[in-house]
Amino acid sequence: MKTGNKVLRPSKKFNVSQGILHLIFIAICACYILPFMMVITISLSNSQSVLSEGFKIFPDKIDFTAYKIIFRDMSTILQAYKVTIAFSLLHTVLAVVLQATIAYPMSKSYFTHRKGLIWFVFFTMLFSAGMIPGYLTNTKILGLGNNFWVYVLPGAVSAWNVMIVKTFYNGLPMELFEAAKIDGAGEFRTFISIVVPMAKPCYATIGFLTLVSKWNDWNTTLVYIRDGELYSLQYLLQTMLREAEELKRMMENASGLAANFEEAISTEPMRFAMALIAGGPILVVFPWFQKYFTKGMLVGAVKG
Amino acid sequence: MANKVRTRRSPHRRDNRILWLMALPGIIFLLLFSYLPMFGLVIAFKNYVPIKGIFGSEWNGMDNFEFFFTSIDAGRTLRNTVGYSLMFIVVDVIFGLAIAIALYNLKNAVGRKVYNTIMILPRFLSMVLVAYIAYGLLSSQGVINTLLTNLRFDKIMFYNSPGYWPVILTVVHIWSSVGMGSIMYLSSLSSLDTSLVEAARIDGANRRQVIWNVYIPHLYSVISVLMILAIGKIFNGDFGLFYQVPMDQGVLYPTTDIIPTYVYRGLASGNFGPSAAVGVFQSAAGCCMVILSNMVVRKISPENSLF
Repeated sequence: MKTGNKVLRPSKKFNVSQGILHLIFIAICACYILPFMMVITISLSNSQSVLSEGFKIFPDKIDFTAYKIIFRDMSTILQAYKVTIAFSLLHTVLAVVLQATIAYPMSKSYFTHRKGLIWFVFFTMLFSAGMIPGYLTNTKILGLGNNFWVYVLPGAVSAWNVMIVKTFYNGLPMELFEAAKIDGAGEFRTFISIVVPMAKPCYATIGFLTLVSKWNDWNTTLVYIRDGELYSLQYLLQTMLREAEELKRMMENASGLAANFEEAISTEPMRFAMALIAGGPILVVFPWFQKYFTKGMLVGAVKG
Repeated sequence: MANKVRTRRSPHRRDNRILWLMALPGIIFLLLFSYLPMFGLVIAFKNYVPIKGIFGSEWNGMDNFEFFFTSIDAGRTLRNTVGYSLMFIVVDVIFGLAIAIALYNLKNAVGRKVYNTIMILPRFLSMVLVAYIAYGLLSSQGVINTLLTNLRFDKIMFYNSPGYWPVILTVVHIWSSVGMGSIMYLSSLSSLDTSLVEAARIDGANRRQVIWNVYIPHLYSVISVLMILAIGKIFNGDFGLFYQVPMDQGVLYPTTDIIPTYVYRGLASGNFGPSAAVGVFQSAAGCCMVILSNMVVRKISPENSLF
């Protein structure tokens, strides 16, 4: 066993080119970690020092004022969390169920309208009506304007995901279906008791893909929602960032209002603390499911 | 005989009915949210007045198209959309390949895993949070300006200077997508026959020659497929990146305005006509590009074509 390992890895000793590669990757990873570090540092800095010295990557003094102020009144952020969790979960479950069921007939060669159904689904991948016609039908015809369900219902069937599931179904061993048929199981029974248990990893993959993109949804709010109670987490963050920048630009143009300029900058640590509270937790959770994520990407890329 | 045929066919017909039932919910969703909006495309040819509705508004022929294509916005948004798409295709290939080949040559498995995971992190970030990071770096009291002041240079007002944005947006794009992009190449490399590399080494090939003559040819089909798929999306543009990161600043439009951001502004301001016209153009052009690019893929590697 040991000798075998040695044959496979002849150079266990320090290798210059490997060392250089590691150095390059450490430098690249620094480009990823330092920006996160910066966000943490800004959130922990004193508003006065931000004003006089600007943002830094590493903190020299730690100041929890921003967090103290936020924790005094968490209602807005908690409401956004509630809304976001609710629509992310609902949308993901709905999407997985719909995609799992519509893909099944598409994978059956004896289904009489298989070709037609495939084209019906596939055409939505080729051609989409776009933002404005979508907005008009969703608000004028379906009544989804400023409505919680606009987060959940549209886009629940993604042609791309349906193709992934269909490809997975096609790869299941034929013998299973034949055995089920001989045992007298109907189509639906076969689906529930044989296909669903076997396709769980596939559902997990598309479910996770959907969950991540829904969790990060800000454009639905941007286009459809006016009511602050229904803001998604990411949209709430966006409004906070924009308001500050607008204020500051106005101040820069009209220099007489320096006091307000300072005021705008002094809320900067708070804004970044909010960004951390809103965006941080999920960043710690998601990478654990990364394996599903990359797998889904590969399946989707190899064949839609 | 007739009896036999019937008994053989009837269970099939029942199966079909159940299969239809299973497909039905999905079909309804697609009809409502994908096919119904397609009728809304007619407003591109109408003078849309909200009170009169989609079908009650008057036709105005190609006026909306004329309005857009003769405005200064047309050249700018089209150039930006296509220009950035092409730029992103090129940098995606170069950086994706470089990172994948470097990772592949890393002998330490733990290192490979850790570096890879860190580079994928931005995929879980929303564009809003990416915009926060960009703001932290680029704003007037941002990290870059702090650095410039310490080195006694003048501050740069990035959010007022359109000239910097092609570079900034490209860097942000690479930062947020290279980790995911390299995974494709990496997984293809893992199927590479290592004896090829050994043989090349024995024949005296140096590192660069191995990359150009063994790795790249092996990845050729993945590269072409990814590239062609990207060309199919050339008119789409990344709304998130271009709307969030430059924070929709009017001053920056010359270098940051793309078709989706233009369309969104039309929607937000209630001026639907020209935006809907661009939307129709975008949908139609996008459809043609996908079909064309698929035809090319089918020629190069049929097993990778979409249809």
